[in-house]
Amino acid sequence: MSMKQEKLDELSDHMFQPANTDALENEQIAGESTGFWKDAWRRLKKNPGAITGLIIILIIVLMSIIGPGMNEYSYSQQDLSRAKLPAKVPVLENVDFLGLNGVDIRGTDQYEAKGVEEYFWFGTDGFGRDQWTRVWQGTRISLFIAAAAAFIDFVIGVAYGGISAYYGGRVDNILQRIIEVLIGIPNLILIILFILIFEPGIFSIILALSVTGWVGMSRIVRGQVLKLKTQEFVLASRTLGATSGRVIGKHLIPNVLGQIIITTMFTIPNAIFFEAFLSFIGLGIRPPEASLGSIINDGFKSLQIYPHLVLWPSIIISLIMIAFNLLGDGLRDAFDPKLRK
Amino acid sequence: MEKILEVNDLHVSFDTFAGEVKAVRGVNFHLNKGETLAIVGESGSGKSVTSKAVMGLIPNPPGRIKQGEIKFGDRNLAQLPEKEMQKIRGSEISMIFQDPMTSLNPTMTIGKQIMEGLIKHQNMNKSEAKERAIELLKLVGIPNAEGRVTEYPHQFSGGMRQRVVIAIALACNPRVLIADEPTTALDVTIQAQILELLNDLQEKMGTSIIFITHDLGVVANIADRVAVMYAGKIVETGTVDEIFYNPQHPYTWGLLGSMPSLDSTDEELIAIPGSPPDLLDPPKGDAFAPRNPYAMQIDTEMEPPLFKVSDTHYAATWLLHEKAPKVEPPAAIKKRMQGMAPDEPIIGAKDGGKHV
Amino acid sequence: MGRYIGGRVVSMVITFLIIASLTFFLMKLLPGTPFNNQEKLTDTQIVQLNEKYGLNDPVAVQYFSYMKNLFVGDLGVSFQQDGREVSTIIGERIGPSAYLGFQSIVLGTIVGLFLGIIAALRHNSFLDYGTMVIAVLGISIPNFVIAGLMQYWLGVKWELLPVAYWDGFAYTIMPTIAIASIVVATIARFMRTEMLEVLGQDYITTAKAKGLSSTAVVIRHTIRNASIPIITIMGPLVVALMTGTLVIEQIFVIPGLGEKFVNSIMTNDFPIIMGTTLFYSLLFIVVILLVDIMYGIIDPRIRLAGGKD
Repeated sequence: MSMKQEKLDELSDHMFQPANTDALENEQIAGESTGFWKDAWRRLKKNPGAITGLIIILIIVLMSIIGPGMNEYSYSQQDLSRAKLPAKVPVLENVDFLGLNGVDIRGTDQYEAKGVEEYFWFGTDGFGRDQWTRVWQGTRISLFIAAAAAFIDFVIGVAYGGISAYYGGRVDNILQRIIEVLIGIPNLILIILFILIFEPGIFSIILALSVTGWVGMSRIVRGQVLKLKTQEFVLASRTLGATSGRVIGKHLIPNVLGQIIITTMFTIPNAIFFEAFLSFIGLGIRPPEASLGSIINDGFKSLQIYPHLVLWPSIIISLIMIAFNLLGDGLRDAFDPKLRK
Repeated sequence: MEKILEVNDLHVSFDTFAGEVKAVRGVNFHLNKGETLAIVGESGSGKSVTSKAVMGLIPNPPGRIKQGEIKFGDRNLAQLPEKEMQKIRGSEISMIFQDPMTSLNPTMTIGKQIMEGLIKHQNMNKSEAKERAIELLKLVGIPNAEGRVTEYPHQFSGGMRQRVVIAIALACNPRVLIADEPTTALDVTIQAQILELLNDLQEKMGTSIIFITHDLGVVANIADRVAVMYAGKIVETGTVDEIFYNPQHPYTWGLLGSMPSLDSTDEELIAIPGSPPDLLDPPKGDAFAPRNPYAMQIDTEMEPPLFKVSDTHYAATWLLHEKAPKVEPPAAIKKRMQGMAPDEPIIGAKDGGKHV
Repeated sequence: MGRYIGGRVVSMVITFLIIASLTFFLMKLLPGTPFNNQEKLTDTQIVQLNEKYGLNDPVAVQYFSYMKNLFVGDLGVSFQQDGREVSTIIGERIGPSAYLGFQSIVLGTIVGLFLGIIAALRHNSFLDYGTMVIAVLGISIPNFVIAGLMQYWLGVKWELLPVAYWDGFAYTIMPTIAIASIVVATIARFMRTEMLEVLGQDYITTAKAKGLSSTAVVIRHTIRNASIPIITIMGPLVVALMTGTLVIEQIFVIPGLGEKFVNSIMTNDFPIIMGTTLFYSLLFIVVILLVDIMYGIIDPRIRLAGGKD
């Protein structure tokens, strides 16, 4: 249990002099302190899924901006003499298994058969329109609809939830009763009714998506604000005479911003899905305008013979959805204060 | 006295992303039959990890017992296969946890939760087990046990829940009971009741208890012997009287000094400066040295061995070395030590509530 | 509990009445007449048809007769299908949709629970990561993309399954998988999180400290408690299923209610749109109510809290 006594006797006297210890030395914080955002970003960077998602989103957004202008065809330019061509890409056409050589599923080279010299990177649709241009144009519109819907959700949701929670009492009570009724109505039904009235189009779709979309956001904001409201620092700032607006703007919003960003990350893919869904039930964007959903829906009519018309936009829409979900998950982990150490 | 449990040179580590956290770094202690041993220390000192190691409940990964043995009878629990360990858990060694609000399954009646262990270890059928469950509830002082056996945990108050947890632990008459801060989460009045219950039950059933706490007031109430833990090691061990009236380790002085006492209202509480070391990278020498106002050169270089103070009393501090200068403990501690006449045991430390 | 259910039923009826009124007035705002598509109709014929279906009455009169009929389950008659009862049409069409919905939710729930449990028990293993990849894909990839991929590869290319239509079990497989994908993914993810949460609870340590085998701890204490909150996501899942059937019935040409609904949107057949809308809403409200009641029955904390008042 103890060391041998003789061994201890060998210890020299000077070792029993008082040591210079400063108890407060180990209280000092090593390294710089990291703020909330910096900390979250550091954690996000460590999440390969989230970073992949972020990169995919950036690439797709970039392509939706420059993609339609990358060749000489416009999204509405029809030419039946070159209709329904499969994809053909220079250089890659020589790599057989990619199927980018202009040969259709029956094994005929449609470019040769129709005497087309040009290359259509994603092929052409039933009216001979360049699918590459249309897909990126559609991506642009889908992303625009989603971003606009998410923005409206954000504005209404934050205002509604913030006011409801901040003022509490009767205001909260009335606002929450309204929400209860809204939640009782399946959003699917409300969206369909809305579009029926306003005629399909970009803005009616955005409006329809926002009719119910903000409810989720407002609930999250309300929950967060209610949680924060009772905390000391808000009380402290009120005691110091801060106005309601200042308390909301300076203290509450920055604190709930993490939650808001996460919610938005899931609103966007949801809006993209709903927009595509509306195209499927005949309430989507009207031609010649195109969204990813309407392009896929068109493609389904000739899926069995021309699968490429469905394939490319399907890949893009799936990539967008996966990327936003990955990024949203990553952000949720990054902002989770429980994991903060 | 018969040693029922003996822990030798126990090392427990947790593998984290930052590296290996050495939570327990060579712990030695034993438990005699029928006694109560209190393990005292700050949070993070390794006391809970030590008790979980005895129960074989260190989650693996990330935790593992690196070395050492836990002798229980002729078995070494540190190396027992999980199947064998399951036979011991709950039947020979049981455990009570800190928070009665969370340590019961909310969707299962308390009767069923007590019966589970009985059915598993004592081959009882359901009706026998239920009868025994009611008996146990009566034993731990729950009124109307017949009616309450089919109720759910949320229908009980905190103190009553802790009684249920004790009933579960005692269901199979274990030889060793580990109580991990069983009163920390309770109101002070309820705390006293639970301690009294544990004392009563120990008398009736002859169970040996390891009582883990950071509260020295509780220790005075319940323990026969005390082991003080710091940074994964036991720094001082002795009987209750020895620890309270003749403490040797500066850390024990600090703990005693920071405990309010009813006897004297004039004295100031002494805070221990600083915070415990990072067990990812334990300091060289005595882990307590950076917070120790009595630290010497040697403390920063070599770990102190356990010096013998009496047959039952050991302390790991270089101050006990013959070459060390004589130092004066803080005034409050000195007063305590003077109150104890040599060779004359203090009566009533265990049942006297005056140190609470 | 009885009082709680009573209260919920009342609020359910109110919600339904609001939806019914909203649907009615929104329908009245619709541009165009329901007879637009029949271009052969002369103006006098349209006037006659309007007369026949009461479309010339003041809106208030139409509203009250509509609400009155609603109470006796009369949803009116189709404009397009020569005056056939909407309720009869719904009755005819509900079969395939209900079958698909039921099969999808059962399959999806079983597979999802299984994956979620395995992932949590093998936390941070390849099984766990694999399940999470499946879950992210299932939540992300739209059901119509999954349907298209299957239709092309399994149907057209490999000819393993019928490409479309509704004629026996083989015809249900691809639609079911397409609809169930979101259910599998959602439940797997949710169950995994719940399992991990429960596994970290103190009462699991208590159960282990009793000396129970790991199987007993997992089955009796973990899975049981982790699966209770699953009921709460059943509401949103039912909506996802409804959305799913609308699209999937289109793609696989299944003669279900969803397909009928989409067609009536395209032909402005108001009574069918209204009837189906109300039917879907009622279904949704009832499911939410059942979910709440079930939650109360299964979770003793809620059951007893509800029982006290």
